[in-house]
Amino acid sequence: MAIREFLASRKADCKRLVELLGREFAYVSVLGSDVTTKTVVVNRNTSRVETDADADKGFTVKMTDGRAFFEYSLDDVSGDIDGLAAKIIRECGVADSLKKDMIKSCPIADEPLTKSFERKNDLGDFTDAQLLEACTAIKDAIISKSENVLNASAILRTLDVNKIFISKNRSLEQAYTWVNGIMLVNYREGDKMVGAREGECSHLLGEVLAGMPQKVDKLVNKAQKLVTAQPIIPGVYDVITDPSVTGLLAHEAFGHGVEMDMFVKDRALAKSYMNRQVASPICNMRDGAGSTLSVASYFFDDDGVLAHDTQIIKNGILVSGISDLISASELGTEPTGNGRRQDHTRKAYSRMTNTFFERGTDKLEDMIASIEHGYMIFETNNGMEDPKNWAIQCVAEYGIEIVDGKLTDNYVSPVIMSGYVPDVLKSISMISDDFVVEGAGMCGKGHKEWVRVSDGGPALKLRVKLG
Amino acid sequence: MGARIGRRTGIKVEGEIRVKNLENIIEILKQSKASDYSVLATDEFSYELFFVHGSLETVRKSEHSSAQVSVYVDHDGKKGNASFGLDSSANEKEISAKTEEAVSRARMIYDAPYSVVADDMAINAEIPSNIAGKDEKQVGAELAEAVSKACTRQGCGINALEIFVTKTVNTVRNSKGVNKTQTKYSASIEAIPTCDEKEESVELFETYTFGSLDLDGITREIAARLDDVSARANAIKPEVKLDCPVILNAYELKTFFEEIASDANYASVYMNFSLHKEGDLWQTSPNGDSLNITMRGVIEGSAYSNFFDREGTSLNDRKIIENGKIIAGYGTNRFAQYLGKEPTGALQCMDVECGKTTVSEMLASPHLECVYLSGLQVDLYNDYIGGEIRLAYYFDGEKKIPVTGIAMSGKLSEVLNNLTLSSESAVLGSYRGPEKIKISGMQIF
Repeated sequence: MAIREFLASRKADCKRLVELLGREFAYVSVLGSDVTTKTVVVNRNTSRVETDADADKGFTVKMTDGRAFFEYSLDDVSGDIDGLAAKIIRECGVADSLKKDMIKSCPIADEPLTKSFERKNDLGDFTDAQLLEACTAIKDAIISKSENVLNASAILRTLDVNKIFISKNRSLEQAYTWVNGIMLVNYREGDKMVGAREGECSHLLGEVLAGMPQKVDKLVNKAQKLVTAQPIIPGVYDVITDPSVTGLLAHEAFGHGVEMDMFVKDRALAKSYMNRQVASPICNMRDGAGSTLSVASYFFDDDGVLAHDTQIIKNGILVSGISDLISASELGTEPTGNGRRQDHTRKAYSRMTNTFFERGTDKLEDMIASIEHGYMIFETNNGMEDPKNWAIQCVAEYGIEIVDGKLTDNYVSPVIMSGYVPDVLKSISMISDDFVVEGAGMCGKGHKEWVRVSDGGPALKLRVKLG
Repeated sequence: MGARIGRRTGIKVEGEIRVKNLENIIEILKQSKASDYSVLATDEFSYELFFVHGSLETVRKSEHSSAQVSVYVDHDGKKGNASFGLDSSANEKEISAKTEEAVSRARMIYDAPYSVVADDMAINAEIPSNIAGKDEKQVGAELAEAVSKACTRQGCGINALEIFVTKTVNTVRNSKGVNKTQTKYSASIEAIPTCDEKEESVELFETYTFGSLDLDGITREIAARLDDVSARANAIKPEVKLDCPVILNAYELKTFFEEIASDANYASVYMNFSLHKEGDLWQTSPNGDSLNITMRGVIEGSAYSNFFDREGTSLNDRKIIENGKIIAGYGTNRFAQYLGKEPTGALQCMDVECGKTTVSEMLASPHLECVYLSGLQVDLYNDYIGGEIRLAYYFDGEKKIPVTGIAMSGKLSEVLNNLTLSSESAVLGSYRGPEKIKISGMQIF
């Protein structure tokens, strides 16, 4: 069996709950979550091990009678299921003033499926002592590189996901893991202090532990360069994005912009641009839990819809959005397996998973060589979407000046890339033939509802405003 | 209504299930090999409404109980700690197993010694709120009505609305006698003001979280944002480069001052992340209003108010910046001890002293008033402040013109030396302070 005892032991009660509530509602489902986490942190002065600080354990019951949807989140489903069903019906009411105006939703296609999914992992192969020892060695290695290192941190975060989905016709279960390794350094030369980071991620802890030490030199070298960084002179430049910033661009430009709950709310301009040119013809972009193996590579989403691999932009033309169950039912479309919750106590929305531009045919060195004066910009800090009006802001940690087709030693930081989405994407003139997706991101909807996402792709050459 | 402080007799929250679970946890910790322990138990009840184009799309009810447990082991002249989470379904066997694992982990940690919070004053208090005692469904309906009342402008409206009504009960207990409980009520709305007056529909994004309801205030705020979104529909990209002072509103000021305050946090200081130390100046050559910041436990009407932090330290207000100079730090028990300072607890609210310039005086001369940024970026290490402007009002001395499609950037140090703080104050989330500030030296491009 793929899943742990907690959820396995509740499946019969979930089925009973679906049956009882099904007497009142046309569609009922129960999502069960048992997500455990472990965080190991070692820095110069302190260490800690936390388990389940951001665990997610509980159930979400979802119901509709063809009008509004009702959800009830609770920690456990066991014992008096008849009493629980009665309580859920009672609690999910609304004030009389709100009853008259509810949405109408299409019937939910509850296609029969019983399946268990599991991705093998190696979390059990490492003891806490080994993880602490590994983090301590990395921390010491960073500190040993320079007396200007004020502090160094080595962090391991493991995510161990178990979920079940039960409806009248479906019984699904899945188990998978993800591991993030993060290294941070605080470095000072004179009055200038900087922070720098490097990361490693995989579904296998062993791969992360093997990869982190190999990036220690890169981390410290980067910090030593960043103390020399100057503010960028605001302007419009030829720019090359590294895979991290490429991913941020995909995420903010046509990730949030094609979340189809935004279509329902008329909050996305993309709705009226389907099958129209929105980017350079050399651009192809995808999203999906099934698109690649990274942090958001689940087997089914929080609505019980199987993972998809959705092409969003094909040869510069917007061809598809991504949807959760509710938005698909309102739009009369097929859900794309993008219904995700922050945890079982929160609503599912249309959310990105693994979002990226596909690789191109150019060599990175040719791209750099093609720029007389510009910047290559690196590492996502944060970004903000504007699906309705297509403004975009992407914040990169730093940039390196390109002069006469060569990367210089001139660093700038921070770098804020902004513009009008179609202008930015249509300016893409070269795409590298390499490809990296980083699974270390967190994505909010507005300013809340945080879910783990990955994004990335190749390097892009574009013309855009930096400030 | 004020905080009620006294000997705790038990929490009456949706029955006694959670209390029994908490007592089980405490009993197992007492029997363990931990030198000390601390438990933060949280019950959260929320009722949520989601509207699309005025129609109810989803109704949610959520009940969630959990506990975060920390165990401490004194060994070899050092202290180790490890923590773990528990949900309300955890049985004695699971709690015992997790406790034993945590004690083993704590033995592997060799941190400098410190004492856990010792405080035998029991607290059982409620953060003052007019939401207390109200029916959550009724509160949800009243909030929906307050937003709806603002939608009187032709061509503009709220096309998506989310309402959250939440009750949270936190209890901290530890091995040194801490036994504190607080109950908080809050409500949040996320509204998308939209304007379809022109060919291209435009929107803004608004989110508010408050500890007490002011329904008329919400109606006024939403109405003002509908005016703004109408302005966005008419906003133009300036044809010439603007060169004028910039005015920031309360939403950005929260981010702006939080970044500055965070530098004085004890954990940041101890970890060598802080740029400044006590006695250093944020305003090195002030040519404007002086900066004065006090971190607080409670601000009236703020959903971020607390009486104590997750370790059980009772919160003590602390003035950290006086006339632009860092006069003190603030922070939690452990890092305060490491630095030889008095702990204030994890203060989340911030009070920034207002200035003497009225908003109308501030708006009288040419300026660019930022209404909606994609996110103010403040980078202390790089002495940077900037961001993309999605809606601003440019006042050229005669007329007010809505503008968009521009960005700004500047040196944080120069901005701080040339601050003008409004005399009117605003409360927004964890921030109370000037409603607007005027800054100069920004490049607008």
